[in-house]
Amino acid sequence: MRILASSALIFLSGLVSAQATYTIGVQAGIGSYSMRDLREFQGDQEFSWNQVDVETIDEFPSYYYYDVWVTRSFYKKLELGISYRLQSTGYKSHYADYSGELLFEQTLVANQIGVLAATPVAKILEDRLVVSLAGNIYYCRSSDNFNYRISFTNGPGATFNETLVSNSVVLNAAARVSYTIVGGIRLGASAGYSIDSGGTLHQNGQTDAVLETEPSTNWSGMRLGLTCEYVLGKKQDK
Amino acid sequence: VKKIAPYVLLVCSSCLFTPDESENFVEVDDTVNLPPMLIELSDASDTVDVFGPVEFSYEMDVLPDREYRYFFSFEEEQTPLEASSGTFTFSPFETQGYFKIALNAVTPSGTGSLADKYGAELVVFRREWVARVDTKPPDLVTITSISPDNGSLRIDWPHYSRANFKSYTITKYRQNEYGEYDFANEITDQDSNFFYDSSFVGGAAYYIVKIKTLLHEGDGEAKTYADNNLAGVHHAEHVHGTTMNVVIRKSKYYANVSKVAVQEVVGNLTTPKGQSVNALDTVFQIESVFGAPRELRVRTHAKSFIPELAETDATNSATAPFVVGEAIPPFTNILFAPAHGKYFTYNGTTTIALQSYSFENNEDLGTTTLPHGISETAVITPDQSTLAIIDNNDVYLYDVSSLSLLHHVDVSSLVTLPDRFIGVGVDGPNTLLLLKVTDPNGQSASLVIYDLLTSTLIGEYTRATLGRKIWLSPDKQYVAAVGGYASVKKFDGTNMLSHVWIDVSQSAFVDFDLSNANQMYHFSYARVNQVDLNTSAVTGGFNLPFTTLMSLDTERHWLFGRIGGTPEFALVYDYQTQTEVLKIEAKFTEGVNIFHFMSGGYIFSSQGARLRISQ
Repeated sequence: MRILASSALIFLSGLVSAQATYTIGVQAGIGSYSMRDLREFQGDQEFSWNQVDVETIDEFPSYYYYDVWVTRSFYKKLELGISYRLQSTGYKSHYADYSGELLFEQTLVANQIGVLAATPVAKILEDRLVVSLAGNIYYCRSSDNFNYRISFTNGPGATFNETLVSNSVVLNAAARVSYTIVGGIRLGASAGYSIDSGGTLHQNGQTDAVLETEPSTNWSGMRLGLTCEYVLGKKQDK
Repeated sequence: VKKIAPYVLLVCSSCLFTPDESENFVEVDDTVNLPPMLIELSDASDTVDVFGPVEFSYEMDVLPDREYRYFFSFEEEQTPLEASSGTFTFSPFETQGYFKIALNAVTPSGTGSLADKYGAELVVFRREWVARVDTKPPDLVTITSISPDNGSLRIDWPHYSRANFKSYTITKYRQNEYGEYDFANEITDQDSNFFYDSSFVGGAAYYIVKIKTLLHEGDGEAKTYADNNLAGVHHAEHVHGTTMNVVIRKSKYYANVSKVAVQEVVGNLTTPKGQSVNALDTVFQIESVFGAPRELRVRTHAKSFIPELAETDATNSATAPFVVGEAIPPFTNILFAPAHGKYFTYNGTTTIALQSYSFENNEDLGTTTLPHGISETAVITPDQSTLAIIDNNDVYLYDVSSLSLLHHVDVSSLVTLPDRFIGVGVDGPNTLLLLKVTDPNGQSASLVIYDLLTSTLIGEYTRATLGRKIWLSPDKQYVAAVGGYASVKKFDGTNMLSHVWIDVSQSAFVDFDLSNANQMYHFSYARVNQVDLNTSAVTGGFNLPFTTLMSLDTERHWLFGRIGGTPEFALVYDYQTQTEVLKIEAKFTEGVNIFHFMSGGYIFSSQGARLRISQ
């Protein structure tokens, strides 16, 4: 940790010493997620439960994601930086009658960290409105919390709870529109698409400990979000 | 950034996906509509006896086209059954008590509910019974008593009350349970916790009682050990000489008999005491005593070798008669033996009895009791035909062979107190002889002769000699009296001549020679003298070897007596041929009287023993 902190400090010192412009940005949006393997996996489970009418209540729906990034602009043509993304989705199927209850839940959370490159493609209204294209390469660490429970009114049931993880690489491309409202603060919107390489779920630290059908997480899908950036540094690089 | 980042992460985390809280509840009818099931267990009432592995057959009336699971339950333990009917063997792991057993058939409820679909909603058809289980080995039993009973030996042991009873088995061994055995009887009647051993004839025997239960038929039966004769006098036998072998039989039960104390009931015989018994049968040599059967009592201190039993002090008192010769058990206190197998006995107080016994058949032929006591004396005539008894003022004469009363004479009119009659005799069928004490100091007597035919006094003659037993010589010229002072006096039929008398005070017997009216023999312990009654001169005689002369046989052949010294002898002597007939080493008990030689060749003691003279 000390080495990483020292390296980041040297990088930031270099940036500062170069009299560069820095941008800190956050984004909140909604994304759609593929999760094809997990749908199939869940379908297999439901097939085994088809003795009763299990209802699927959530099936990896679109859900909010959050971004935060720091970039440096080079000659007003290129922004380079690092970014972090948090996104989640899940699954729930349920059945209950007088005799008991059957529940299957999954909660998937992805923590992505990567590098960001963006370049403005149009500037209008005295450069207050900027249209830019951005690309990200993320390392994606996913965790899937399985929760299975069958319980009976007049007798013991069974529960199963385990968290599996996966690793993958995610490419994200987006178009942004931002408008400087006051000082260095810019508000905007983003639309993009993520492509996930997919990561097989396994027990943490034991990559061989996978489910029988070896389902993978897949965070591929549309991303639509709102952004807020703050630009540091008045004397920009000429 | 450091300050803001945690809050950002917290906010973001709180915004992570959470599943919808809505649920899918389905209404399902929970009605179960199945008819009751008939369940049967073979030979089972409400309570089932289980005393070992039991094979049950069972049948459950199940519905077709339904799936069932069957099992037998013993309390909480379940044993699967393969089908709705069949057989199975039940071996309870509990050994004793009352337990719940049941047959169960289980089928899904069929409601279609989640629990039904997942096999967690079942309909159980069950029928219960109570199992009375007793597979424990029988308790240790102990023979409680062994005792003679009406000619048999009765062996008792505690009643076995548990329901798993199968049988009692009693085995009689000769030595121990690993040796030969005489019999093994199995008794299936639980209430018959005893056995009569009619084969027991004496000595030691060794019994083991085992209790068999329905499960424990082989090893592991409870055993008990018993020895009917823990230790004691097994038998006694005379060894020629002064010793007698007394066999002390050691107990099989209490093997380590450490001490044996032999005590004699009567007499002062030196006995071994505190001797160790290490052999199976130990022989003690004890000095034999002639004349009386003797009883020995044996006390033992024993240690058990049976592990189940603690070290035990066992005291056993066993008795065995022993005598030189042969004991005749039915008789004691013999007064006279008028014939072989006939004995007059007297209990010392009130009655005289004639007891009869067959030695040929070893059979008691019965007893006839005469209702008389003996105040002074009772005599039997030398020819053994008449018994005379003085009982206070009454004199009774009995015919010995028929035991009929010949005469009863009330002699009260013939005597005035303090005079009394002390001696009696008869002279022919009609003449009664009595000796009356006439001196307050008991120094003189008179002879009374009484005619029994006319019941009149013939005469009373002074200067007689005191004696218990009196008789006249065949020519009526002499009267002999023995048993007090002893003398033979000239009697002329009118007067007792004081100047003619023969001193026989040292003699035991006087014998008039029936073939010669003038001759008489009188016997002391050391000599027999032949006397001419006319002259009172000793005309012959010879020495006798006795220290104590005891008896003269009825046929006037033999004398019997004791030769004192070390060793001591018993001697039978033919005084006519002056030869020894039988001489054996033997101890004599003081005070024991020896009676008559018999024609059968035996000599009898008053205490009930006989010795065959002619070997």
